[in-house]
This record gives sequence, C-alpha cells and structure tokens, in this order.
Amino acid sequence: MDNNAILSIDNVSIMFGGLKALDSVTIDIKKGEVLCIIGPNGAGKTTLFNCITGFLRPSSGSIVFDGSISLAGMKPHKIASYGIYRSFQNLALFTNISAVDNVMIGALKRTQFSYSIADMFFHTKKFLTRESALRQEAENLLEFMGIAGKKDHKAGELSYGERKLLELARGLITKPQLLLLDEPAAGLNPTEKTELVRAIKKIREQKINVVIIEHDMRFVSDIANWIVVLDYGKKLAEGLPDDVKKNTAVIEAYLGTH
Amino acid sequence: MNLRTSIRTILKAYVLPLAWIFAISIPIMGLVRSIFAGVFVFAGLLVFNIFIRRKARVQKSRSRLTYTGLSFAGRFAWVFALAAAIIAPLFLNGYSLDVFTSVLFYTMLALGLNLLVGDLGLLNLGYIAFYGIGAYTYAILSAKFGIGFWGSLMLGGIAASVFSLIIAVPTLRLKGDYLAIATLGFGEIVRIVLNNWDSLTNGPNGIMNIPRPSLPWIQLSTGIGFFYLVLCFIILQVYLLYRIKRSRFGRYAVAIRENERAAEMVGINTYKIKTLYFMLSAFFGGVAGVLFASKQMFVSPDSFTFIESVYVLAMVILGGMGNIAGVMAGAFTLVVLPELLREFVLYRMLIFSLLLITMMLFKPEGLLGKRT
Amino acid sequence: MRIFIQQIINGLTTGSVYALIALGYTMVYGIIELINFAHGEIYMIGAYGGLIVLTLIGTSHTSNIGIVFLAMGGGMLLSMAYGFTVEKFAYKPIRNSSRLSLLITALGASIFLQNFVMIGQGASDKNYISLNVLNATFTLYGIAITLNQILIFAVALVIMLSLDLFVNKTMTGWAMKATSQDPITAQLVGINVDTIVSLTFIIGSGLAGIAGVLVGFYYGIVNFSIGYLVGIKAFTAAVLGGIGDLRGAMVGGLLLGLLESLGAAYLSSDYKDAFAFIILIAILLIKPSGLFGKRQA
Repeated sequence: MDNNAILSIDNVSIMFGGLKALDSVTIDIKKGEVLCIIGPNGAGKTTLFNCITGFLRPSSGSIVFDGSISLAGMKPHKIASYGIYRSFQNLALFTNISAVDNVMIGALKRTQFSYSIADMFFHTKKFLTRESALRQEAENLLEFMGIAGKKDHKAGELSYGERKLLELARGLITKPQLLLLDEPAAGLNPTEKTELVRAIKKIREQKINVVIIEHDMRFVSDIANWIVVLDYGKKLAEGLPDDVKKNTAVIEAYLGTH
Repeated sequence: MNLRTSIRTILKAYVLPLAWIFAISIPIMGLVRSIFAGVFVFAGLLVFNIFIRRKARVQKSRSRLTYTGLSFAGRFAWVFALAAAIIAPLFLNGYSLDVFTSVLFYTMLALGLNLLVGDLGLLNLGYIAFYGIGAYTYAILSAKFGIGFWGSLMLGGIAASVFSLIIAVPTLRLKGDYLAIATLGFGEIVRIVLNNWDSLTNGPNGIMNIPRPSLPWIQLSTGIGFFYLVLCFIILQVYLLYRIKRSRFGRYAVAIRENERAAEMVGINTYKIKTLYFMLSAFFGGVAGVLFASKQMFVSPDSFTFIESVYVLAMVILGGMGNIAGVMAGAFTLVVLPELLREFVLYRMLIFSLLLITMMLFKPEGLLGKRT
Repeated sequence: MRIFIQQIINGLTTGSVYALIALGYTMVYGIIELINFAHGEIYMIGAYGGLIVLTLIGTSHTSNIGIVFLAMGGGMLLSMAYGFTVEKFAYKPIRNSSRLSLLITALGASIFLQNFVMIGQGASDKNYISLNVLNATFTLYGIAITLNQILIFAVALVIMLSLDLFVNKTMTGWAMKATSQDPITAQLVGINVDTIVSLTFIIGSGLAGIAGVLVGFYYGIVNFSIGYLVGIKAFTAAVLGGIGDLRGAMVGGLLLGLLESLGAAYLSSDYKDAFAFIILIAILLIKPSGLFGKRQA
C-alpha cells in the first residue's frame, strides 16, 4: 500500500447474482492528482463509486481512505462525513429549494456543532452570525462556480449545466478531501463543458483530490493526471493520458465494441 | 374543429363518464340520488378540464429557508389571529367554546403530525395512537398513582415518544408505503389493547373522573380558563416549531424529503433525523392527549379510531404540508366547517373524502403550502 | 384435537377469502406500486352486489344452488365496475405524482366509497337470504363442515388456479407481467399500459367482489363498514406472501386465516383482530420482502 495514497482500493470484487460486476480491482488514488476512470458502458465504473461511497458493499477486498480508515461496509452518511463527496450521473439535487439553500445543506454535517439547541431556540447572536456566515460562504461558492446570479432560483429551474455546477458547489462546501464525479460532462454542450473544465481545474488548485468517471476522451486528457481503464469489471490498463491513448487493448475495448 | 369531432369530444369527455357514473350508481344509490351523482360528476369534469389548462403554466417561485423576519402582512395576520383567539372566548357560549377548544386540540395534533408528513414527507396513519397514549397515561397515572396534571404532562409526551420508537426503529428503514401501513397497524393495535386490557384501561368503558388541571392563583377548571391554558401550549408549540424549521434541523428535514440519497451524500444520518422527528411528533401528540383527557375528564378507546388519524392528516394536507400557519388554518377549517354544516351530517364524510381526492389532484401542496 | 381440526377448517375458510382479496392488492401493487386502500371497499360493494341480486330474485328459490352463482356474478360485476371507475377517476389522473399523493387519494377513495354505500344503503346491517342448500352440514368424527365452507374453499381454489393459468399462459397475462416489471419497456414493445392497468383493477376487483358475496352467505349480514378490517387483513396477507407475488398472496391469505383462527382459539379471542396487525409489523421487521420474496424491499 502506498502511503501517499488518499484512497487505496485493493482487490475489490462484487457479485450481482452470478455476474462479477467488479473483479479484483486495485487502484491507488494518489494525493493531489486528478484520476480519471474510463471504460465502455457496463464496465463497472459507477459500481466502483457505489462501493466507495457505501451504497454497495463489496463482496471482497478492502477500500482504505487516508491510509487508515477502512470504508467497506460503512454507511453512506458516515463515509461522507470523512470528507468524501460524490456527484451522481443523473444529478441528486434538492430540486424544490433555492440554489443557495442546496449549497447550505451541504455544510450541515461540518457545522453541526456550531451552535447549540438553546442558541437555536432563542436565536442568540451566535446563531444569527453563524447562520449568516454560512449563507455568505454558500454564496461565495456559487460565485466561485460562476452561478451566483441564480442563487435564489429553485435548483430545478436551473439549466442542466448550471445544475452540474451547483452539485459541485454543494460538494465543495463540505470541504471534501476526495471528490468523486460520475460523468460530470455528460449531456453538457461545449460551452458548459469548458465551464466545467475550468471549475475542476480551480478545484484541483485547492488541493482537493478528484476522481472522475468519463466517456469523453478529449475531456479526460484535458484534466487528468492519471487514467485507469475498466472493462468488464476488470482493470484493463492504467497510466498517463498519452500512454493510455496509445494502448492497443484500450483501443480495442473502446473501438472493438462499436 | 368541425362539428363531428367536437361532438365526439364532448361525448367522450362529458356524456360517457356521466352516463357511466349514473349507471353504476343506480344499484347502490337508487334512481334519484344517481341523477345527483351524475350531475355532480358533470360539474366536476367541467372544473377539471378548466383546471388542466391552467396547470400547464409553470410559475416561477423563489424560496428561502433561512429566517428573514416576517413581512408586515404576516406579522399583522399573526397578531390578529392571536388577538381573536384571546378575545373571542369571552363572547362565546358554552357550546361554541367547546368547539374552539376542540380546534386547539386538533391544531396541536396537526402541527405534530405535520413534522412527519409535511416536513419529511413520511405518512403516519396511526398518529392518533400517540394522542391516545398521552391521554391514557394521564388517566392511569392519576387514577392509580395519584399523579397530578402537571406531573403527567411531560410523562404523557415522553410515553408517546417511547412508544413511537417501537414503531419507528424497525419501519423507518423501509420504503414510505410500508411505513404508512405499519403505522396504521400500530394505531389499531394500540386501540385494540386499550379496548381489551381491562385491568389497566377498564376496557371499552374507559376511565372516568380524571382531574382537571389546577394552578394556585388561576381558575383552570372552567371552560375559558382551560381554553387559555391550551392556547398557551399552542403558542409555545408554534414558537418551537418555527425555531426548529429555521435551524439546521429544518434543513435536515428538507434535504431528506427532497432527496434522501443526496442527503446521505452530504453526510446526513437520515435514519437518525427521521427517528428524532418521529419521536418529537409523537411527543406533541402525547402532550395533546394529556390535555384532552383533562378537558374531557374521561377517556375511552372510541376517541382514538383510525378515522381520527385520517382527519388529522387531512388538516395537514388541506392547510399546506409543511406550512405551520397553513396547518393551523386547516385544523380550524376542518373542525369549524362540519359544525356549521350540521344539516349535512350524512354527507359530511363524503364531502371530506372528495376534498382529499381533489386536493391531491389539483393542489397536493395544500391551500397555503409552498413546500419549503 | 377436534377443536384444532375445526379451527383449521374455519381458518382455511376465512383464509380463502383473504387470499381472494389479497390477490387484488398484490396485482395492483405489482403494476403501479400503490397500496389500494379502496380495495376493501370494493369487496364490501361486491357483498352488496350479491345482496341486490338476491333481493331481485326474492325468497322463492332458497334451495336452488344456482342462486349462489347468480349472486356471485352480480357481486363480481358491480365490484369490477367500481374498481374500474376508481382507477379511472381517482388514480389515473395522478399516477405520475408523488407516492404520498397517491396513497392519500387511495385513502380518500376508501372513505368515499364507504360513505357512498352508507348513504345509498343505510348504516344498519343488511341480511343475506339464508339458503337451505348452503347450510347443509357434514359431520365426520365430530368435526362439522358446512357446504358453505366447502363452496368458499372450492370457489377460491378454482379462481386461483385459473388466475395462475391466465397470468402464466396467455398473452394478456404476459403483458401484465411485463408491465409490472418495467412499464416503460412494456410501452416500447407495444403494450398499452393504460389498458393493462385497467384490466388489473377489473380482475382484482372482480375477485374481491366474489369474496364479498361468499362472505355475505357465510356470515349472513353485510354492512358498509365491513371492508376496512378485512381489507387491512388481506393486505397483511399480501405482504406476508411477498407483495407483488400472486402465489405468495394465495399462500399468505390461507396462512393468515389459519394463524388468526388458531390464535383466537388458543391464545385470546379478544385480541383476534390484533393478530393480523402484529403479524404485519413483525413481517415488515423481519422480512419485508415477504415469506417467499427474493427482492429486498
């Protein structure tokens, strides 16, 4: 195991009925890098995210966070509280409430002891200042993502691209150590994609580790430091973006199926 | 549109449903009432078709969860309602005062249930059981152990909370539908036990001679005194509920209601929050039960039937799920309206059920609901 | 031992009724994931349908077994009509809104039908005509079984077998199965989902209607409020067998009937009605997917 790894996935397998959705997958995610997981549909990419975030329990293998915390079998909210945030392929926002409130909900766990029950009932000065500070922080993050103008709109009223950025903003307010993004660029138009690349690069500058599942090779080579290729639940290859692109097995997995 | 297609449309949209309802009503209702049923459906269809077109327009709305202070109109409405609640009893006769006291009981219940149904989107179909547990706690404590009203008040609420855990712990992990049906089962079990555990509850005859509350200087045993006592509790309850709503707990609830998965993703222990809300909701039910028992000075299982649970639920739905003022208005309407429509007592539940169905069809968020 | 066997027979009788009603719950849940609260009332309406047919026939043919089947037909048709109507008018317009709205609508429909019948037929009990044929009792080693009980059991058995054949061997049955598994794909392969949903309601309601008439003959009285408790119990039976599973509902119904009848005899008859609810909560606690369910609920 690498001490420099923020997340070590070691020999993880999971079975659905008789099918091995993940077959002894081993990946080390090093601190400070943007890692992209690519692979054809059904390769087990989202399944891997589900294992990391506790929505699925791996049949075997271990997932260790930050060198010592074993995540396998933990509840999703518990895993999230270690600073692992994940976005969903088809978005998971609170659609009927405003964008800024969406972001503020992201901070609930981190700020849960910032005021007491008594402060809450009597609206003490502490309560009011903490609340407005939190709102300010949320608004700043929307600004950072470039959607500050939509802060009072319901999340459901935002455009698809804006919603993706909102989900990212909600993730950032949790002060994550590891950000897992499931096909963030899917369904975005070219301008929105550029916005997203810009946002992810800014996130990387803040020393947040990012793992991205993606189909779009151009998008991937633009931001990834390291690429892992999954196919039929197995790790097919890994390496620097340029090396992976030249790898014949990868080309086959991608083009052979077309 | 030419004549033929418009005739066909009218046939399909109005005449056919009308004839069908008329035909199937005859065996049950007889001829005359079936004609009424047909006319009623016709009117309903007209309204429906007008509404459908209206619904297409999506309105943009803005919402905030944070406390930003009340608008002038909002403040005025609260002050006015409070003033009316304080002044009105002085001019009411005994019967009207009873009705208004009953409004207060149902308000407490509806506000308690709203924590689950409105704030979390969880259906509890046995809520009245907690009311019953509170009422019987006081009845039994006073009859067997001589514990007074003030001592029982908290205990009634706590007893309801503890019982709520029995049902919450296993079922809150399940899907919403199962929770609804499990709470319904729980409510029925409680009623059956109250009905049959003769040595403790005196069975169907109930427990009598429950003492009224007393305070050293204030007369509480009269109707008016008691009304003000319950009013004080409601003011306290509303204050607490607003403060909860505008705090992180309110946000927890919204997150869970809107998207449970996403809530877990940002680190919220959804199961724990749901359990807490369930207990708090039961607590309010239990306290209301103690107050109810001391008002009636008598409890029997008949007061805690399934239909009562549905009634409280309807108050939450009518007024606006999640909206505290709306829920209070819902309780007021559903208690006072049937009293005003005494002549239609036979049709009361029929109208009530139609109200539920049409609400779900046109305005599931309630008359005053904004769902935030 | 004699009491035990007698209770088994009684339990199988009520159990058959639960099974017939549970089928409707399970079919509807399987297809639109709705706990159809109004289903108990559909059963009650069936009982009234049978009563109406009997009233029309009069009291001159009480020894003719054909009357029973006429009454069953009447109950079935009336229940089918009401089941179909409730779906079309109450559920279909909001099929795509939240689960909470659907459940509340079902609750409203249930209360509506109860009061509708109460207004039309009065709040007091109504008597079924007592048929001499049905009261014929066979006694074997001191264990009594009436023709009525045999009839209930036989009718339930025939219906359940035919339903099983229908669902598993006909094209329509396959379409129903396909719709319950994946309505969107079913639509893509040309199945009219609306028709299938209507059909599901009609079949389920018909079964409940027949059950209503059978119970009418068995207990001799009907009332507008009989649907609530039986409905909840039949729902329990459906959950017991794994909701959405037809065979599960049949077994669940019989099992619940047996448990209730034995519980009333050996544990406490005061708490007879509580058993179903305790079983319901227990099964949700231990195995929410039902005794035979595979999928996790």
